[in-house]
Amino acid sequence: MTTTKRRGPPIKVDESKCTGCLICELRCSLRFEKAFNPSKAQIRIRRLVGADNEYEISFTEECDNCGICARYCPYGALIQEKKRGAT
Amino acid sequence: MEIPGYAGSILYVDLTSGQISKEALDPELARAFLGGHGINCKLAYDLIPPNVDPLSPENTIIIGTGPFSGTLVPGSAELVITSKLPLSGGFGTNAGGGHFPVMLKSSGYDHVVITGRAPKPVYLKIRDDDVALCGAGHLWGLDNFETVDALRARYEPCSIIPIGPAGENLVRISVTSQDKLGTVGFGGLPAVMGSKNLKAIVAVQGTREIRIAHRLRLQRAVDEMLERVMSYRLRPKLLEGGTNAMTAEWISGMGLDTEGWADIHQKSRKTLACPSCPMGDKELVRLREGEYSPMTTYMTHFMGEMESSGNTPLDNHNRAIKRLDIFNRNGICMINFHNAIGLMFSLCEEGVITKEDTVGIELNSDYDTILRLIDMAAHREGFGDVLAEGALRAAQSIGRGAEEAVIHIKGCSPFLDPRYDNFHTMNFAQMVHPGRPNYACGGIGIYMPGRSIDMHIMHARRIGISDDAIERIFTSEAYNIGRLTKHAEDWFSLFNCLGHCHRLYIHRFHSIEGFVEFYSAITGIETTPVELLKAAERAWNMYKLLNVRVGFSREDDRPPKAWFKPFKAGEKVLPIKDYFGTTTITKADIERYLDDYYDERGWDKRSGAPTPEKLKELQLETL
Repeated sequence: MTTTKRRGPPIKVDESKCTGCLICELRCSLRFEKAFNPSKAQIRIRRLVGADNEYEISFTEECDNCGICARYCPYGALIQEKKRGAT
Repeated sequence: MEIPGYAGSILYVDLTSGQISKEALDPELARAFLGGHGINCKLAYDLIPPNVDPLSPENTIIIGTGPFSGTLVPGSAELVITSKLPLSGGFGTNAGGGHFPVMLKSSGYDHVVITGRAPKPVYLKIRDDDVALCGAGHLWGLDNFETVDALRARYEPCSIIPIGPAGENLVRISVTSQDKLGTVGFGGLPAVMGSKNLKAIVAVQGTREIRIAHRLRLQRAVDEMLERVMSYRLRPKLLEGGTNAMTAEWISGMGLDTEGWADIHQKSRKTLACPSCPMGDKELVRLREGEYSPMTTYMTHFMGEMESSGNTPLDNHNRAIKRLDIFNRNGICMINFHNAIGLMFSLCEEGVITKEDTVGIELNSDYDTILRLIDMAAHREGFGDVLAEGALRAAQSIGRGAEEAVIHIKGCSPFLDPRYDNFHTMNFAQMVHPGRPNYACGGIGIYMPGRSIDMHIMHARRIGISDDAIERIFTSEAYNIGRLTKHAEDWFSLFNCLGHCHRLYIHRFHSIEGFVEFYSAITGIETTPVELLKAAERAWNMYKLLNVRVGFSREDDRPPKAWFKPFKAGEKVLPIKDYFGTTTITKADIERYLDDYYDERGWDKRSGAPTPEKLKELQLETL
């Protein structure tokens, strides 16, 4: 059985707008680890290999939908919905 | 003790013996030289013999990041690489934005020092303590993009600095890029990699964290800056227009009509950004219709299509994009290629060279011939072998007075020609840049034609130029190019030391006070504008010393002779004019600018070298 830790409203993802700036990963790692390392973030930005620098966005099980990634995304690729999601 | 903000280690790789080791980053070195370009230059001074052949195993490639790299400081993604360059024979630092710094620091390294020559082709893989030289026989022969694709398939998330055919074939006019995007290596760095049998460097995302001294203070500073960036009224236009957004006017001032191209380009582009940058100005370009479609490539530079066309007739947009793609895949520097081929066209017209010299190639500027010549240069095939050496060496090999016609500074092609857009600090900076020409250190975009004196002074205060210096530099109607260039260079040096992008898109939001706050919040070292700029100046003097030791002097800081011959552009005849376009600049004027520049720097006017007093002031007197 998987348990979800998500508390905040869902985060809407528009991968076509992702520029690969990693601001979301850097900000998320700062929140969780109090230090910078994209690999420690609960959001994952991955290049789709062979797909010309287009990016795939996903979230780990540890993500609690705090929305900090969406607040910092400067390109509109991540938007937190106003309605609270199921927990 | 480790300073926060730094990864904390320098990685040493000897390709000859295969030995790999790491050493702790000396905190005193970090305090004195900040990081990136500064530490690179100090390491180069200590480790590379001045008279080493750039393509020998003894030459060394030094990769650097800064204390801002891998953090959220907006635009902190600059990679700097220092080596002795085969085109100029001088030491050069190349800078380019991309993912490499954040990936490298996530494995715990601020710098990488690569020396020797591998017995067989290898690539260097770095992930935490798992650092290895891996066989690259299967990659040898692949172009830059193919190499990145092959390694990405194995190591993503990662960042890759590859070489293509030009690097493998030791082409002096080669250049490369990170992940198909941020260009690095002007002056033939890929040939240095090729001479070492080093096909690529792969920084795989590691698990080490970058600690911050004052996290909340940094967050506040970042938030404040991001707020200004996001509310900047021109941001939507700049992001929408991408690399062409700010340059259409400049280009049309040169007599080139780009309106139609901008529209087509707009339909085919998507913005890509370097890590931490909210003002992304790199591009994915997809040709969906017309010749060569469907095709995907990358554009990293404003005027990319223009640059790919050089001094040959402008073709349609798709052809320009295709040519850009061919340059980038092969790893040929467009600036140096066009200079070399432009020289050959004029020598051909004047009857100095014939088909015998061009190994049977009918030299003309048509599209197909240029495409073929790019490929031939990258593979050193036939006449391409001559072009691969760059304009100066090509002319020297031809003889018959050809050398007189070469436009070069320190053996390399300058990017800007002041006959097009008047004489400003970016033109002058190309002349005095240590080891190779570089226009960006002259104040990229800031001092482009058309700015008022008041705007110049406002910018001067923003970058920390003192009141005394402002008094020396500006009158109500003019400014002193030589003196202003010194301060533009120190500002540029600061960016390259801290690991920050100097492009105008993001640069416009920074100030010296802002940098002081970011630096202190990240490292925990309280500093001042004067101290921070002094460290940047120290780094620049270190850079100069590297090149003084090679033998460069005032003689090498002079402009190309051709700049003083009025340029014919259609009906127009263009001599060099001053910044405001009112008077014609003479050789004597430029000698005065040089005197003023050295004086402002505290360097000897006769030799162009730092004086003992200046070195003492910068605590470099033991060198």
